[in-house]
Amino acid sequence: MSLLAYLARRVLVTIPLLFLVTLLGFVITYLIPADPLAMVLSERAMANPQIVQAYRERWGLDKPPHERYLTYVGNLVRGDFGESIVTQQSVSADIARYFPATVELAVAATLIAIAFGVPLGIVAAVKRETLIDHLARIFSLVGVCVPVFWLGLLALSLFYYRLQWMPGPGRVNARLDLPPVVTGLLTVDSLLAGRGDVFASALHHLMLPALVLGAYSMSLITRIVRSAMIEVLQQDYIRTARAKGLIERAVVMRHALRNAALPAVTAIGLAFGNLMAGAVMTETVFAWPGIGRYAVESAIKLDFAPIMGVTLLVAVIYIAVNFVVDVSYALLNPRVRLS
Amino acid sequence: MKPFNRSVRLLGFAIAVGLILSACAQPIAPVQPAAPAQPAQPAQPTPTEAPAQPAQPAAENVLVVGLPKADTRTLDPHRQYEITPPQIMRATYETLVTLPDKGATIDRVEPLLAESYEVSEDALVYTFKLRSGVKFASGNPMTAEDVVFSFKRLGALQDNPAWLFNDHVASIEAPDASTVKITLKEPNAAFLSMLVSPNFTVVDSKVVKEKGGTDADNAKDADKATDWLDSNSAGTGPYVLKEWKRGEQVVIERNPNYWRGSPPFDRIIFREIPDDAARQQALERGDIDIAVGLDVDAIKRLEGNADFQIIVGNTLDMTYLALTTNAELSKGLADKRVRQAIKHAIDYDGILNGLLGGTALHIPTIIPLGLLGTDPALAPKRDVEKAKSLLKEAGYESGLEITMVYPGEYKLSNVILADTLAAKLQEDLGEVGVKLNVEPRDPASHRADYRGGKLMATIADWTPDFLDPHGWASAFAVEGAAAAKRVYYANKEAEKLALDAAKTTDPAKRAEMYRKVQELILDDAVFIGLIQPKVQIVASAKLKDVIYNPVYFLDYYFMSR
Repeated sequence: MSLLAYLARRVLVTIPLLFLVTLLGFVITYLIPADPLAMVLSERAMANPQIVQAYRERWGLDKPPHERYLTYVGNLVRGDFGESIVTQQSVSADIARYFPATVELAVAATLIAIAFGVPLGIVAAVKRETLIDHLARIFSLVGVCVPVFWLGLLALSLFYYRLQWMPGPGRVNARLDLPPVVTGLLTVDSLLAGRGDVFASALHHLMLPALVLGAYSMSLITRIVRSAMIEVLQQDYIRTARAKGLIERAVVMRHALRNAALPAVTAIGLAFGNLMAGAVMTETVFAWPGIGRYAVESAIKLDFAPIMGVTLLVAVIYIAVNFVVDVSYALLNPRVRLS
Repeated sequence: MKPFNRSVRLLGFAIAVGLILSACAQPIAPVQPAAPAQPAQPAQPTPTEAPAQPAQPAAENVLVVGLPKADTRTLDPHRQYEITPPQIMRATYETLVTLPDKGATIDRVEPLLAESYEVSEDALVYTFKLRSGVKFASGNPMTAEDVVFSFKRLGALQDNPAWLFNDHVASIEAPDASTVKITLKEPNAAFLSMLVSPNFTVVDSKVVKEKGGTDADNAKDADKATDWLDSNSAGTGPYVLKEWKRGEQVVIERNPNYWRGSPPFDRIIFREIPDDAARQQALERGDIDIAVGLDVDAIKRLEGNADFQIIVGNTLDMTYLALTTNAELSKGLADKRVRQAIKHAIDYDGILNGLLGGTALHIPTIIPLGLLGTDPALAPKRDVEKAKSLLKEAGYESGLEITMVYPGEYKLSNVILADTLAAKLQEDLGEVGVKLNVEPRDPASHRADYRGGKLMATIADWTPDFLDPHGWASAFAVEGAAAAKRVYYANKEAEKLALDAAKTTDPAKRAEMYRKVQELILDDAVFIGLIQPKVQIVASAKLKDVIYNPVYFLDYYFMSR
């Protein structure tokens, strides 16, 4: 099957899935026995029928639930994600505002995780049962177990407060005038505008949260690369490669790593999806204006449109990540066929 | 083999990029900020990047305020009604009247944009003479027309604070360019203090109309100025709004046309740093000048530090215990003696000093201390014997069981986890033989059930609507009112006093009436005051006149460095 046909089929399967997601989200939000208006209106305003009526009309809460759902889906088909009662902004504008910050953080975290996790996993597998292996295993175990908010606070008090190597919470030095928003990724926008000062500050601010956020993925990747490599290194073809006199480096990097790459790619993909879905704790500790905080805020306030907007976004990200992982399987291993 | 090689190369590339980035990420050496790329950039001190350096020649006087999670929904003065906006409102807009003594006195008001005012004998007609020579930031002069437009827009938008105008005002007119005459629907002596509220700010009607604003009756659909007002201001205040980046920061800049003279700061940046520990570190590192909402332990640690000052003020927030009077919900609680027994069973001292480390006042019932007619001596004391004998009298010698639903994982009045307070009350009541079953519920459902009058007992908080005892008395003491209906409270005498006090202009008489209202509610023991938190703000010792204001939080007009 051609890649294009495969892609088309995957997209078609996705659409009913997304509608199911909206229906489920609506039913759950509707079943919670609380009035979303009570979360934004004061006691006094709630006691004032005119204000309540104006709000009900504005957000369509005066309509029966099935009508509200159909209106929502109808708008969704036209690309309108609705409006947030809390921020009083369109959900697409809100997502455009918060999502780039999360993307920036997640990409940086994943790159760090790959850069450290893959080599560490390889070394641990090759030097199995040595000190390096034990250290790598302890490190990866700790990385998976340690709660991220604690790690974040620890990193902040060490590198920002005590050693003063790193800047504090926030995306950039608050006193700088920022370049116009193009992509929303501050590192990219500052380069587009030729603002070296903003780029340096943004990159510097990005490091600590990305390292903290990447710690979990890094540990995961280390563990998976290590176990996959150990398995592959015991295969006959590795013995063959060694027997035909290849240097160890070529055996490991060309013959073993290629075959061990599949599970690692899955792990990286899923970890990346996880990070994109928002890292509330990291975002809170580092005052990062990302999608995770927005999602939690919306959920607390029972704000339907943003809850659904973020849910759909996350669903699409997971579907896309899975797709990319599947395609990369086929690229990495010719025996895997897309079907 | 071809795709194989390509993908390996791709992987190699990804790893290489990762390594390059991670090389930067390794916290090995402090990275100094790049020199400003554009000469147009004024040389600014950059304490974020270079905090260890001593004071650089500051070209700009910038104040940075670190706020906890901001709840701002809008910065349109006629729509906002959340906790965060008032301090930004006060810096950018002004009101006809304000609190005396830089905001330290709260039981009366003094003129601000008004030069003088007159209240009719029956508290029905309020006439304001406007100060002359006041200009908006735009340079337009402030006139009576602007006041009329502003107040009417507040009502017509039908947003959160619209009731402040709609419930009270019958008509507003401008007999001449410097006079505003407001006639109320019914006599209300509390109206003057309502005008201190940031919702009654005066906006530049010319500018707001230009941006799509209107005060017409259909404003709730026709007004289009909010988007503009969310990132700009149109007021007479000392600063003007420059930027609001949601979830990140608000920036205000000096208003060159300010009528009381040029304010000291070029810029004030309100930064949102949700994590308490991170905010405290930012303060100690000098990245922020003021930290709001630090936890008690952090403040204790900073107390002896000469680099910082701690500003303490009394909020008008309160946390209280509500007990139903409805026999269908609880036969026991419907008996006044049982409620009184609970009132005497609570270890108030243990809550205020034990749990809160002395950072709160003991509010007697529903009207926060400091307001007209309040008295700390009214507060009930713990008396276990009395509690037991009241229970015995009511026929519950062998004890009774009560279920208290509370908002789980929720910080009441932003100072104490409801779970903690519930556990404490369970222990206290247990000592007199009342078995308190505590049941956490998610805050949204809890609120819905409490408002619906479905709860036997609960702990809840209340934030002020305006600065007069009427705000509390009218909600708690009047049958069927917002708070009273939740516990089915009806006391004709308290109700009459609460309503009459609002129509009385003599402050001494009013004070006496509100005192009596509180005594009646205390005797009925339906709303038992527990906590009136003090606010503690930590600021750099270099700042002068950082004064807590219970309406605006901080008034940046007075502050300087």
